[in-house]
Amino acid sequence: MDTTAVVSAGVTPPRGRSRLAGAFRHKSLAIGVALIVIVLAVVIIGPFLNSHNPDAVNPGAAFDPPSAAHPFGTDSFGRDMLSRVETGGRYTITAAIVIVLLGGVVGIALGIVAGYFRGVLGFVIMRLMDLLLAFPGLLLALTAAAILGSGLTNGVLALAIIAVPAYARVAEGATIEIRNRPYIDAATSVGVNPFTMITRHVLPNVRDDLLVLTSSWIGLSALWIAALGFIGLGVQPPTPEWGTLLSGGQDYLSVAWWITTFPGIFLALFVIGTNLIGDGLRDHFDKTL
Amino acid sequence: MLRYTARRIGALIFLAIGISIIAFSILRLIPGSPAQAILGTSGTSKAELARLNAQLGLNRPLVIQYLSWVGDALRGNFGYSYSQKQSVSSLLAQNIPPTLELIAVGMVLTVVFGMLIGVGAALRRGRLTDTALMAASVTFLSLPSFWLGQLLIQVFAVQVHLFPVVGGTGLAGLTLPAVTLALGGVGLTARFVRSSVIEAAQQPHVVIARAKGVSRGRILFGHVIRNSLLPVINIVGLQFGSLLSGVVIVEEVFSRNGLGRLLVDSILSKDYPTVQAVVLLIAVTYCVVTLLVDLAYRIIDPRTATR
Repeated sequence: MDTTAVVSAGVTPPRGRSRLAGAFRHKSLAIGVALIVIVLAVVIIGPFLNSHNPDAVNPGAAFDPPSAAHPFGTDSFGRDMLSRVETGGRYTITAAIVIVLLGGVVGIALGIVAGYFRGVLGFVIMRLMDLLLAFPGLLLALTAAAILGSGLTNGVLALAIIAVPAYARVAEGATIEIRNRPYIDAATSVGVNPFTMITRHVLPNVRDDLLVLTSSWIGLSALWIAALGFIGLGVQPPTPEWGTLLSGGQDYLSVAWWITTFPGIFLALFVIGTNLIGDGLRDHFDKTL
Repeated sequence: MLRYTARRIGALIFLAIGISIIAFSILRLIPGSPAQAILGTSGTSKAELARLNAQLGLNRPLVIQYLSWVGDALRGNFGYSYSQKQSVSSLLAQNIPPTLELIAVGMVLTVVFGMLIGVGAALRRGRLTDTALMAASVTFLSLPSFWLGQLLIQVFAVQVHLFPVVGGTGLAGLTLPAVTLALGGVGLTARFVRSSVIEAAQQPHVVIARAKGVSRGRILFGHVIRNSLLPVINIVGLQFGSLLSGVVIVEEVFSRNGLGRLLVDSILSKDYPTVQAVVLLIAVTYCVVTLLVDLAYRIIDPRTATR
């Protein structure tokens, strides 16, 4: 008989559609998903329905307030803000997802290795993570930006570094907890190798924690890449990223409120959505565990 | 307690060494020569470069360079800012007070409003007030501070003329930036306080107190809130970190002088000695505050020692 099948029998949590569908009973999850669907629809489908080019300059139409032709108004160069918000969201949201993917994969790998093997290696890895966590919030990204320079790619790299210790900590904690369960000893005793052990038994068990972490980190990363763009260290204008749009409208707050209002609303909705999804998932997993 | 304190201080020293190595590396990891980077575009003559190379000891081994940089930093000498034409330490001296002021007011707002909202929501648990307060909290912690700051300027300075648009001294100039800085923390603290109060209210001694007829007010203040305060101390430590990071954005939005704006400006103008100094200062301060909070926590609640 297959040894891994025996060992894993009875510890694999129920999965599949019914489990996910049940999660939607949580109000915050349903509202969060709705918000994200709306924002994503605008960002993904919007540009196809909009005849304006986000980069088309029209000096004659500068600072036009919201109207039928330009629902979100125009900026100081007469560019259509609706199309800039739509395209800008693609940059911001894609960047946020890449940040979390990069930081998450590296962080999870380091955390699982540290938690599974412990010893000197685990100690060194986790103390390095502590060192990264000693830099509050954006400071680490600003340090990285000082070295790497500004730009979309460098901003994404800088922010991915912040995500690494967050993921490593959760992955390590969960791995240690699972490591001490009898079925891991049982699997070790029948000769399951560490790689199989991690992918078959450890990863599926830390999945819930990491899912919760990921949904709030995607929002946080969007917030931070926009923050970097806003202070001039991330995406550079004229690329219409949400943060650069907000910084572009900063000088015209008193004459053209619409330049900053609309990108901000979408960024806020996106972040609220991800946080609500995170809350909903946390409640859901807590109950089933 | 003494052993724990000694161990934590030992860990702090290692952490500080790590931080200083990262801050030191900033100048060595950037492409090109450090001397060129420090002088920027202002000085490109060979003689000047050679002079700075010798002055900074850039010809010496890296370890020696690091040790002398740390030694100088410990004596408060962070080098010279070529872009601002003054010593980095005098730049720090000018920019630390306004940042501390902002963080202090932000912290007070965070704790006061976080507690009020959190306790209020917990008392009305499961009702409409609770839902509304928690929805507000999620919104607060999700709002981009750079956008919120712009909105507040728009509404309270441009439309209503209640506060100065940018700059401004004293309380009037501090109100909008402090609110912007604190709002995220208010949301986070409120959520935390709510669950902490709910947990404290379910303790057996609270049930007993209720059963023997102690008044609601005495139960609330004497048993529930008192016990739920403990975890809040932890949050204060965490909040200090996010406030330290938040000032970077808030000072930029409101064009306020301070460490955060100094950091961003010096990164943009490639003023590396200043970047190194600010990074070192903020990270070490954060670690020291975290340590103090942890120690205070153990003094107030000795049970944590056994956990």
